[in-house]
Amino acid sequence: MRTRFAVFTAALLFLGTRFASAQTRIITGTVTDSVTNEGVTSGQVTVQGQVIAVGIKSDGTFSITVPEREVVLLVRSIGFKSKALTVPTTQNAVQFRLAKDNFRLEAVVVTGQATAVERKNVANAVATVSADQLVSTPTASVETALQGKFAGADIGQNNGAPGGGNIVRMRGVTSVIGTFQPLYVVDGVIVSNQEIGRGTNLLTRAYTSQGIIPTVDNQDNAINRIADINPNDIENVEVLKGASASAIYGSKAANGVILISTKRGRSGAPQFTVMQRFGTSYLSNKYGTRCFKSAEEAQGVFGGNAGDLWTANKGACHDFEDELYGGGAPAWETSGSMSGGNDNSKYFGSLLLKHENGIMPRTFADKHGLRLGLDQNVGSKVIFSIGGDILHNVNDRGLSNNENNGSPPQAAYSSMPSFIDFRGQCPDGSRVTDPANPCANVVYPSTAPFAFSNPFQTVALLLNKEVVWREIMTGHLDYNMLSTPKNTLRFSANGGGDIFTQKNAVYSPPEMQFEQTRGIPGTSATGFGQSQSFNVNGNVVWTYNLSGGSRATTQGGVQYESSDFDRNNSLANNLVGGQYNVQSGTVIAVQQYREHTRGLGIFAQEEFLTLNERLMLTLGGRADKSSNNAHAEKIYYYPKASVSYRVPVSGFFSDVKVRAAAGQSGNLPAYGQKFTELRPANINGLPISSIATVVADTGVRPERQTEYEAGVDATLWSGRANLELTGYQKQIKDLLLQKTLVPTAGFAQYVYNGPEIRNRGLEVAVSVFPVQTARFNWNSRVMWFRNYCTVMSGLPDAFQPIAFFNFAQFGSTELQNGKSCTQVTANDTLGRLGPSDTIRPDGTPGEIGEVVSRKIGENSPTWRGSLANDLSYKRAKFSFLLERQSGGLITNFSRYTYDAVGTSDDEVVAQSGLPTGKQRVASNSAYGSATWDASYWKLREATLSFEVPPSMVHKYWGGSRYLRLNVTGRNLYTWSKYLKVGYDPEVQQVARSLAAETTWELWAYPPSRSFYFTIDLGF
Amino acid sequence: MTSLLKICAARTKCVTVAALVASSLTLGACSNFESPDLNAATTQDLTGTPTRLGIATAAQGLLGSVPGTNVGVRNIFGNNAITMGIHGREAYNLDVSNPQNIPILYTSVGGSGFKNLTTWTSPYATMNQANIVFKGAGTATGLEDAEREGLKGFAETIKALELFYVIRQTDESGAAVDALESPTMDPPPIASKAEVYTAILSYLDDAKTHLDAGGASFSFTMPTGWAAFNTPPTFLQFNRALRAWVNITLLNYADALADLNASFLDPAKPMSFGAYHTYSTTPGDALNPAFDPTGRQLYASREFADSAQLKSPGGAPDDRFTTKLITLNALTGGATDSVSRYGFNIRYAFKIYPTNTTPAVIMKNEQLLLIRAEANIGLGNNSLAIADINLVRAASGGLPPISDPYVPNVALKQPGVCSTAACAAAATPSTALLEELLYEKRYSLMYENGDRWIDARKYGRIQDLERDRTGDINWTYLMIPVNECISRASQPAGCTVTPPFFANPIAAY
Repeated sequence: MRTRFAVFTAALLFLGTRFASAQTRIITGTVTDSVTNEGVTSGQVTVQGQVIAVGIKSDGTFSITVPEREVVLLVRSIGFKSKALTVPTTQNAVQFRLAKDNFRLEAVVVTGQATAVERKNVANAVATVSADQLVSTPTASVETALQGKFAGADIGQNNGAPGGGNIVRMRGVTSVIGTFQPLYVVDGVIVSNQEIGRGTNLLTRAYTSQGIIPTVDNQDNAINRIADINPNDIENVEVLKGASASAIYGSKAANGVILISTKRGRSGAPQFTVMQRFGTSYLSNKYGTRCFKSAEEAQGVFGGNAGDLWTANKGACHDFEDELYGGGAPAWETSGSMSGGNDNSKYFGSLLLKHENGIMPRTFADKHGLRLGLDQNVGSKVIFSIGGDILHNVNDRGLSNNENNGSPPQAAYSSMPSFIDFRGQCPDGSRVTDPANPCANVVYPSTAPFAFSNPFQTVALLLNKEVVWREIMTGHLDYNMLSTPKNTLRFSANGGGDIFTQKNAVYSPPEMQFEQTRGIPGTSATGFGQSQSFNVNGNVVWTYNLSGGSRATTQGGVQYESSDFDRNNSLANNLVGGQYNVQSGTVIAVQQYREHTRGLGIFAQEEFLTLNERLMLTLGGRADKSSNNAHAEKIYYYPKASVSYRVPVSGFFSDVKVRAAAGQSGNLPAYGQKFTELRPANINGLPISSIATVVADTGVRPERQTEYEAGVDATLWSGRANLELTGYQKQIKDLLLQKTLVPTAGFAQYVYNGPEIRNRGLEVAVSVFPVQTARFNWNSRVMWFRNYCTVMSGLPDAFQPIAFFNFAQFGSTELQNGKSCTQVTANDTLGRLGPSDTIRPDGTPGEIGEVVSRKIGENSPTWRGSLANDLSYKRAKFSFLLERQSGGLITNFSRYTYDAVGTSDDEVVAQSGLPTGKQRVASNSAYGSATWDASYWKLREATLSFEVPPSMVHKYWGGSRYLRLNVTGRNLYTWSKYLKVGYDPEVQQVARSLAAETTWELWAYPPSRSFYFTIDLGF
Repeated sequence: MTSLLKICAARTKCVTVAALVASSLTLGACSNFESPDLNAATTQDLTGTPTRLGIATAAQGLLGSVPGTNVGVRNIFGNNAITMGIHGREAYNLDVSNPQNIPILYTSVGGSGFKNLTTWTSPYATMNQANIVFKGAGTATGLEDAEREGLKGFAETIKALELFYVIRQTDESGAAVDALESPTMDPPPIASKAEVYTAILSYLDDAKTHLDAGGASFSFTMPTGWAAFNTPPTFLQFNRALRAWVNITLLNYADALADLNASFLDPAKPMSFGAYHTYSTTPGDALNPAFDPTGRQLYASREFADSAQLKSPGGAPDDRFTTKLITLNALTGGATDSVSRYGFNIRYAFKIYPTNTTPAVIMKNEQLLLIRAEANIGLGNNSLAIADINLVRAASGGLPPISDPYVPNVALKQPGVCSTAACAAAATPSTALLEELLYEKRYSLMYENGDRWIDARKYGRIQDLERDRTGDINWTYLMIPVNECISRASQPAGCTVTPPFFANPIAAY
């Protein structure tokens, strides 16, 4: 067997050698932009019907060795339409003038594990976001950079804290208790987007129902780890939004797939880029402070001796948020890259050093990264590519979000009298003005009996540090086994590993004010988490060119993946001598959590392109098994099919495509969901075990999503405008849910595959180039989408997935057959809470005191949209991105507390369009009274950049290629009624599915707006 | 992959087909794809053929309480002392952090409120595990036959104890007699009070049969609180004591006396001799839920002070009053004499559980003596009853004996407080001795397992329990919890019929 393989390989090599020894000639050429006449600096030149390819050099020239006879040269460059020219035997110099491909219709889009097709033929609304759209404005994490840039995704930031922490929800509700974040794939390798708790729950006791020492929890304000990726290394991002596009990724793809391709080296002389950036962030919105006008007023709110304190402090009014966050937070970034090589070897390397301060003193996020990418031809048939990243992320996020002991700064403000100066006091009597750098021997005034903590002390003494080291290695092998004009046979393999360790340290010294309340002062918690995952796939692709220009591409492959996760936490209270080490605690607990998952899939796909590249048919499928399913050996099948047709048009329309696609994909149960656990514990050291409260169905299996998508893409106005219109319906069957059992079952909760939900949506994307000249260019893009989600069937009763605070005024998401998946309801006690009438929601009269459930709103926005504009004149460019969310609901616990205490800044004098705090508190037991509309307009990004004329730069340095300067801003301005009552309408307490829990603002990290100045040099 | 290449080296067309075939083979070939639970053992370890150790730890689990689970008899103690204590007007829970619970605790606002039992879940979770232990005892490896019997007898006794804890509260509302065999089955029927008690007694008698065959020692280890009952013969004494407790609740006096004869009752032993829940600060263990060192939320009824008998005319009050209660003045170091909260004026807190690891009683010698006295009064054996009562009075209260034949000693009552119905009843000879017994039970079993409320119901005295505020309600028994009722197609009476209650304010403190 081995011999026959060797013979086959030898035959192929022989073919290659024979070709190389034939008569050849060299053609040289130039490639220019048809509008500007400037050289096109990248791309590929191939000979039609041959496997010869060379890169375009950075000066816009190429040189290619071709057979002696007449050849057809084909030039491709991203951003330009490809062009073919026939070169007769007599001609050895050629000039290509390429027209702009404004809408990247000729760029390829990944549609299979190992294949891609040109955008103009793609049957799905696959969104592509390029590098320049992605990194024009710096962001903490790649998902943040995607906000507002394509239709169909709801991207939210959990918190304003530096370092990331985002939620991406693709096309509505895809899961309730399962994973709802998309799958991330970097260069063909699945990477982890795990979220690992920091251990702050031990400080905040946000979730305390378990044991003497609380557990590490999802309310720890954790960062989802895709934030580790360096956005500067990304060449482009492709987004597969639902099952019809993502079926090829099988049982992990129901939430969509985000495919990240990294930058690769280019042949030519070495090129270098250096970028230096400086920035600052400022507090963009605040709760404000109520100033007290008289001792009586102060006494009325705070009781005790507050009136005397008001008089003693001469009625002062301190704005705590200004005093703590007023400074402005500096940021800087230094990055560079190098790239070069020849037709056989290409390399790309990059370096990133980034530091960003948070507006809460002593909070920050650092990101350091090194990357190396290498593409090497092995002979003429094989290309081997590797990419390696080493990433180092460090951050301190301070303290925010839910608590049960008043520890986060914002939790204290609402109870602190503004007439008292709570800033640290130095021995000389002066006050600390820079909270991050207090003087020696500083004393923090106690906020007792008003509040449980002093925010100035909390930010100065608290440590909540996280260090992540991550390595992602990807390898890719392409073997052109056979290449004839009719047949090509290619073997392609991808594989790689993703390993990271996350180290957390939370420390609060015994002198911290909020540490006193429990009698065991001082908290230290350390955590070590390690994730190791690897996956590999091998594919064979056979392309068969039929006569008449039709092409059939057949592929098949196997994918295997394995991942391990281990988290160890040591938690200590009552620290002896305030020591930081956990072993100095007298109350100590250790916790461990582990996961091991394996998955195996096979897939096959057939693509058929015919009718002069107008009709494209695709049929494919995947079979998957995973150890997370109750039956690990059971195989689940996910088929897909699609068709696209480019309608022959002329005149105003330059290209019109109608497309339809259908497919299925799955969403695996979480690790451990299938087990009914026996929990270990003890009675005075005697080991005992008890059955846990959650029992799983014996057949727990993946959720199954079936998506139908259809749309029209049109390019009109001589290629200057493009319209994409997409409608979809996706049904999710076997939705994983956790339902409450009758207590006599012996268990409290039951995990099962139950109901069916349906999402229907519409997406519109329009891009126009109204002006396109050599000097002035203007591109305007509008995106709009909406999604309706309905619970179809399968729910025996109305059901609240997570009733976080099940009180009337806050509301809960409630699933109910036939109703919206994201409806928020609250209990109205007829005649007692809310309006005094006793009419039930169905219109029938009820009795006084009867409790009825009323819908108070929708957790998901009605629609989202954005408007982006890029304007360039000569070398100057201005662009901005405006985003809109219409609808959605936020429950604001912070404002509820300000109102309840009587410290809202609008307690007495109303803001326009709102009742006063006093009026709000009078009705604050009414159902839904603490929920607010989350609509907003946001000026997400604005950038002004200028490229210094090369002649000027060359005067000083002949070797330079370009010098660009730019000023940019992020989250510059928000228009929203919500700003009057809360920090930011995008806030979210915990990353959860929109159908699982209401969006909460609960002692959130304050929001900021950021400005940056960047110098970008290429040489 | 190489295998498919060789097949099709000559003919490219078949490559894809071959790839698929090869891949399918791979998919099927990677057998044993199962990945175990790396974070805990699973119930699968208890079904099928469990190990001796696995069954032992699960049996021990029936006595505990584990964070994140509902299993274990220790879970019920907080409810017995505090919540049943509130119904019996022994204790008040005035938690400042959860003010929204206060109005529903004492009044009838809302659909659910306090008339519904809240701790129904844990007993059934324990019964479920007891069933699994019972089954596992039959199939486990490495066990002697006697040890299997011992495990079964133990598991059934615990099941009886948990079911008794339920029916003591729901009474006429009834209860399910067992946990479901499988969690997805339809909810079990709600049996009547009589059926439930029959089930409890039969569990106890089945358990006795198993324990009799259980040999000299158990295959598992009892916690220190159960040290006196850690062999099948001694555990049978607990089983019989529990049967006596069940029978006296049903006023089955003769049966109760018969049970007591085989129980751990022993006048020669200390009053406190018995079975206890123990606690520790070891990680993974639990703390005593009734521990409240600073008087933050748990308080004692003022009635205890008013009714305490005196050791001599004009002398110091009952030792049980002085050792079990503390004034707020003493508790706060003189800072305050009383707390006014939610319309209550509080002057006393409990000091029965001075540390967070103080053991909590399940059953004790003192209780058995009083059950024997109660049974003897029921059967008219007053002299026998008086002897037991005097034993308790002397040992626990430091009080002088009562006379035989019994004449209430008014000189030992506190001046000016004999205006309640209970006090007036003391003058009636027919019920006077019973009154005296209920006094002893109230002070001996104070803030332990809610016996005052059960005794008040048993003897028709719910209306005599204090009601401090206008609108406060005394419930005779409780309804079945809402989450048990909600998914039932037809509602049993225990879900819909409001129990008898007394709401008219008698006196406002």
